Amino acid sequence: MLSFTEERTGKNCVLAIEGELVATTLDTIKSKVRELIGGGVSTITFDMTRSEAIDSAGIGFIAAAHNSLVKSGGSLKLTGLSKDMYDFFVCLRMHTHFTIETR
Amino acid sequence: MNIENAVTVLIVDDDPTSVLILENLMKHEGYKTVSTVTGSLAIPLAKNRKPDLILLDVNLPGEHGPDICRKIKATPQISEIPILFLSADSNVGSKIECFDAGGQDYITKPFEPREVLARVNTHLRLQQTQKTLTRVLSSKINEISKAQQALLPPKPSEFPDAKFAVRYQQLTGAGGDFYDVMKIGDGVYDYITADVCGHDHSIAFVTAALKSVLIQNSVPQNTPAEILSIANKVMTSVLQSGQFVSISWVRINRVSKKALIVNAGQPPVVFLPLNGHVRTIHVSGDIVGIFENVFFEQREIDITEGDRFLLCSDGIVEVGGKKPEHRAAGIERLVTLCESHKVKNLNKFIQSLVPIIIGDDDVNDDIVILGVEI
Repeated sequence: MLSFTEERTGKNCVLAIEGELVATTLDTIKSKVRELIGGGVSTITFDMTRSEAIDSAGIGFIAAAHNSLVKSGGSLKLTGLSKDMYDFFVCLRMHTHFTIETR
Repeated sequence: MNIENAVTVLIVDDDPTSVLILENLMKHEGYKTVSTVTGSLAIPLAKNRKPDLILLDVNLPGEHGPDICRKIKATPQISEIPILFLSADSNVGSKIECFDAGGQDYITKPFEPREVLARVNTHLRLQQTQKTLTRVLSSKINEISKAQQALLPPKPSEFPDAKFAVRYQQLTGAGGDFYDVMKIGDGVYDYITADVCGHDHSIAFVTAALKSVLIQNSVPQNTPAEILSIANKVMTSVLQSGQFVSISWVRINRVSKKALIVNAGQPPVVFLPLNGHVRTIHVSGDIVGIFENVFFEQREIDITEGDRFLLCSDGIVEVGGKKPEHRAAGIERLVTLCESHKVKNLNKFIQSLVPIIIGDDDVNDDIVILGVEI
């Protein structure tokens, strides 16, 4: 299961994610990100405080969201990462492409 | 064409005058002829001389042209030869019978020599074009077949001096995980495990493309990091949005006793020194095929005879779940298991690890575990 809340301020949007970012749960949030970018949002922050599991499809989704935002002149940010999740993202060198922050 | 590379036309007509006219016509065109006035000799001559085309009279004494045609078309080694019927009968029923029997054309007597030549040449050209197309197609199929063979993962028995063992289980049969072992030079081998994100059948094509890139670029002058950078450039244009590849790579030089390790998003390589404690080797690297700008750290370590390396995919370390702590615990468990479960034979060691790790859990990911011994 995956749910999220949306907090939008001008061209910035925070999506607070709850649940697992895995292959079977990504459809809704993918559509949301597409909708936000299409609607002119240039900075998206994924608040991961309540999301602790991710698989390769989830990693691919985050990287693709970053690429789409960069193409439209914007950026992606991940906040609220657990220590383990943060270390995992560092191991994949995600921190060299976009901002990631621990809780 | 026959083996002498000249066109041969078989003429079968009970009228010697027609045979003579046709022979002269063909010879003027530079074609060889084989002729008979006896219908029953048509098939033996066709089998023996393998003509490029047959001119066949419809009404032969004791033999019916369409019957001969049917027999020729039913004989594999001569069935492709075009047959042009000759007949004084211009009614539609006779023509249809000849076409139904497998004839390619029907020329009415008395024939106009230029028309006969035009029709003969047209059918020879068609025949030649068909042969060329068949040859090109066969050649392409052979190339594809050779490429597919090259893309199949090697078996340990094929490269005994590479000293590796592998356990490989695919979830879909066309899936994302694969391994490869490539000889780079005398005593130098590259060992790879990789995972193309996703499990649908299109992944097989992506995997094939990736393996081609790796095989083409795995040469001594390219380091594993450089090859991954090249692969990244190619794969960013091949993969769909959100897809990527993780790769673990160890280049072993048994002559200089050095190992070069690179990792792009796979679980860390496990090092099992003959004398010393088992440990993971952490090297930093981007995942492949999703970012334009990437970096792959390379770490070189000294090795001695009897040392081992273990490369594995996510499926091995994510048995407990998809949380990063599950993965970390899975890696720790693998190290502990390698330390406690020392088996002398490399293959037995690799094969015995998987059941212990997986246990009774349902496998929901591909499994690749590749062991290498120095």
